[in-house]
Amino acid sequence: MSSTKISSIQAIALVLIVIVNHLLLSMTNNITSSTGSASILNSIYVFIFALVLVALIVKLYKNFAGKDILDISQFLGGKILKTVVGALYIIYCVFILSLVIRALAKDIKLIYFNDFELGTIIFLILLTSVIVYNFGHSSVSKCALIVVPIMAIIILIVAFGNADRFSFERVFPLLGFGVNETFFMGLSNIFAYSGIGILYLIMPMLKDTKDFKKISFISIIITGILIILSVGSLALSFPFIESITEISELFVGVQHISFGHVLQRVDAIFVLGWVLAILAYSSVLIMFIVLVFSKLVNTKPVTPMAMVFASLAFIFALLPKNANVVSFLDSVVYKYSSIALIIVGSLLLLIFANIKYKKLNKKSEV
Amino acid sequence: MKNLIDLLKWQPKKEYNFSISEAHSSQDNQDNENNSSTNETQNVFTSLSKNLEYIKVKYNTLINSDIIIRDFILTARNKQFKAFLLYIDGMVDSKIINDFVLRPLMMKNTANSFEGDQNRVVSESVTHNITIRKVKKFDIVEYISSCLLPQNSVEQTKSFDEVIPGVNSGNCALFIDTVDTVFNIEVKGFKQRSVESPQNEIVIRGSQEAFTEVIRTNTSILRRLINNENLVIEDISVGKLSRTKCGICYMKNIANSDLIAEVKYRLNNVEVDYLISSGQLQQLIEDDSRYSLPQIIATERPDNTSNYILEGRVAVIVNGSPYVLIMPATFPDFLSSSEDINLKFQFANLLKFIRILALLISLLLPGIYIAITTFHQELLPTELLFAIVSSKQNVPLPIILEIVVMELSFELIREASLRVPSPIGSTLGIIGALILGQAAVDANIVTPILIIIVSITGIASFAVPDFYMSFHFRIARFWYIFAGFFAGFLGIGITLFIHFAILTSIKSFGVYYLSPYIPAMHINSKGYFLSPMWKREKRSDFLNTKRERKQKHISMQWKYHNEK
Repeated sequence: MSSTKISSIQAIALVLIVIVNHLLLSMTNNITSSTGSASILNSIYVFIFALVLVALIVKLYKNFAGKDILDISQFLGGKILKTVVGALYIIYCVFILSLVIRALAKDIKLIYFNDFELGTIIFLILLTSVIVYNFGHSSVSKCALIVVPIMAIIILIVAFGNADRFSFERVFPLLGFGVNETFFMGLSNIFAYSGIGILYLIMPMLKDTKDFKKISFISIIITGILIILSVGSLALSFPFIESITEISELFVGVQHISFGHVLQRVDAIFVLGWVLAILAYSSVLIMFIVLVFSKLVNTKPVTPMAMVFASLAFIFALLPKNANVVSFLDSVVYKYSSIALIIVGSLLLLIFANIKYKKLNKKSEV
Repeated sequence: MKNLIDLLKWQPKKEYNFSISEAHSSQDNQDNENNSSTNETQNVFTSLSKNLEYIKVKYNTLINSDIIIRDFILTARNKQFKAFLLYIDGMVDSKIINDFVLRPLMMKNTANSFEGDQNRVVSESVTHNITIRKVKKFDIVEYISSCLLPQNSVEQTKSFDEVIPGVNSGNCALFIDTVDTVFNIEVKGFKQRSVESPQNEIVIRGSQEAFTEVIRTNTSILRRLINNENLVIEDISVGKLSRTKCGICYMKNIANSDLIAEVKYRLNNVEVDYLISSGQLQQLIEDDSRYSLPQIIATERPDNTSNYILEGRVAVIVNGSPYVLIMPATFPDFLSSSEDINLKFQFANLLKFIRILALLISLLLPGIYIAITTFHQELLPTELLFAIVSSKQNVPLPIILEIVVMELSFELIREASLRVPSPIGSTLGIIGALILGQAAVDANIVTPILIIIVSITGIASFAVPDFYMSFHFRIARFWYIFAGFFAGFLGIGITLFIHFAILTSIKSFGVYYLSPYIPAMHINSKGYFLSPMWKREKRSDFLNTKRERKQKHISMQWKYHNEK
């Protein structure tokens, strides 16, 4: 298992692949259902908030160049805090990995593979991720780098492919369910940027830690654009009441796209891109889970570890008994766990670590 | 009577049955291994008879018919010495041996009959009326070398291990009595193929010269094309038994020193008994031999090789092989043709774009066809779907069997047309492709659309310029067919992703296979698509060359020198 350093573009791809996958599954659905016709306004508002958040993270990271959230938590609260934070990250990653794979497998089974068992599709995806993990960390991040532009193009096609169905009246009422739902409760849609969790782990892997600022801002800006375009496209194409559907909203968007007489249905091409994205996503998450675990137990990251965590994700993915449980996990548990751990928890950890750092510095100066 | 009974009795059939005795062979192998491992350097003896005996044993002259030992009397300074010449018949030029080796040594002439002072005075000085002379004693070896052998390439050696490879490669060895030095004289004169046009890398605008099997001919072509004193050609022998001469070629002032060292390291550490072709060496020195992807470029074109060497890469010429190896290699290199740089960038880029299409078709088309017809029928326009379904109704075979049979038939025709004599080859191709294809459709074994799919895939695979890369796609295509059949686009997506992972993990001599795109670096002039000639200012970033620029910022000085 080779673990070489990664370039800035690879790092951006790692952040984007996480966000793109959530975007493809249910993120747009969650945003439109919680904010109604104000979803575009809310997306822009949340994007600005995310930019401020990233600026804060970059500023707070200045004193901890080359360190990830585990190193920082060790600095703040010793080995115990490090273990707690590491374990929380592992649980969170395994949880969202199993959730995303389950959701995708359910959708794909529903669309094309009725004869397949759900477990078979999940198994195939996780097996591929472990095989790819075996090629090394560098290979995983490079695969993500190949897949991200493909997915970005697909999202753009979806966004603009429905242009003929756009009806600008659908943005009214401008404030959707009201000011409170759009700006205060709607702030919870910051979960869409949970991909910044990768920023907390990526620092030791970077070739040049000075690029952290550039990586953070570029990845968040691209993420913001993709989210606004996807949400905007769906909000303008369909009445928000229609948004409750069993399968991904973006896929519903794709089903309405046709290119002349020859390409009347391009859903299958979208599914091909979707499969590539989910494979890149699961490989990346497995890589980070193994990295965090190996750091906690102080060993080298090896393929058998990836097998163990993939097996765990496989079991968790099959635990929910029906689509309602998956939907609840996706819209409530995932949303608030992301906010709690990635947006609030890690940021607080960083703030306290900075306070401690300054105190220690002052003492040493005295 | 007894004989008659014996004749009528059943007798087991007597068959001639030869088998190699295993016990003996293992013993022999052990002995051979021991001999080769304890092979100590043997110095030349001063006694001519001992040398003769040694050579006779070494070369098995009693059973070897082409080993020639020519005894004669050598005349030097009016003195006569016993001597013998050793060479291999058919490897040497007899005229050169007669006129420029035997005649000057044997025949009496002014050079060898000169009887001057035996000792030569080098310097002389007088101190206190005492004359001190520095005298150099008569040295027969130096005398023969400088006066009696009018040859351009004569090496002196004291070891048999240095003489024997020379004799094996077409030189003759001169042994002289009382002298422990042997003259290794170059008299090569074996028959060789002349420089001809390339057979497999045909271009319209480029050079029409190809490499031959002889290393020196190849190095001379490279010297002529590169025409620079910084071109270094280092010789290394590979193979314990064959001692095949390999030439490592690079530009001393351009190529990365670590790259050169790595190539030398790998060549020096190839432990094989014999090496006959560059294809064998390619497999022995490439980074990861688990995959069918080529990681070293093999070319028969000297102009292509010169371009690569001047770019900062290293070439390895193997004696006996007309294909030169170039390293490191990246994925875009295998989709580039030698013709590209001779064409204007617009033409070249159009061809390169077509090659990418060919790559995708050759790799994915049958797999995608099977995935669409099995799982994703909605992707097809309704009319086309109806046409496929109606043609499929009469075919009893499942689609996977249909496509695999057709692909294998195509491979069969391709392989057979390569093996038969060339006039029949084209006929076989026509019969195979046209008649059998039509017959298969008429007999309802396959659908007409499948014939179209397989034919387009076959044609596309020929558009991939590199033979090895084309082979890789041919193998990988079957994976995509099976993946498409079992899980539609999910299967194709999984296979494609693993393919990406393999491509991103491979390195060729320290350079990532997908350079300069992944990892992203400055493309300079060595991206897949070509920029205009005047804009190709720098060498590839991934080669880390000693000389970054290959042309000035403004290369078309004739046009812009006034503006400067």
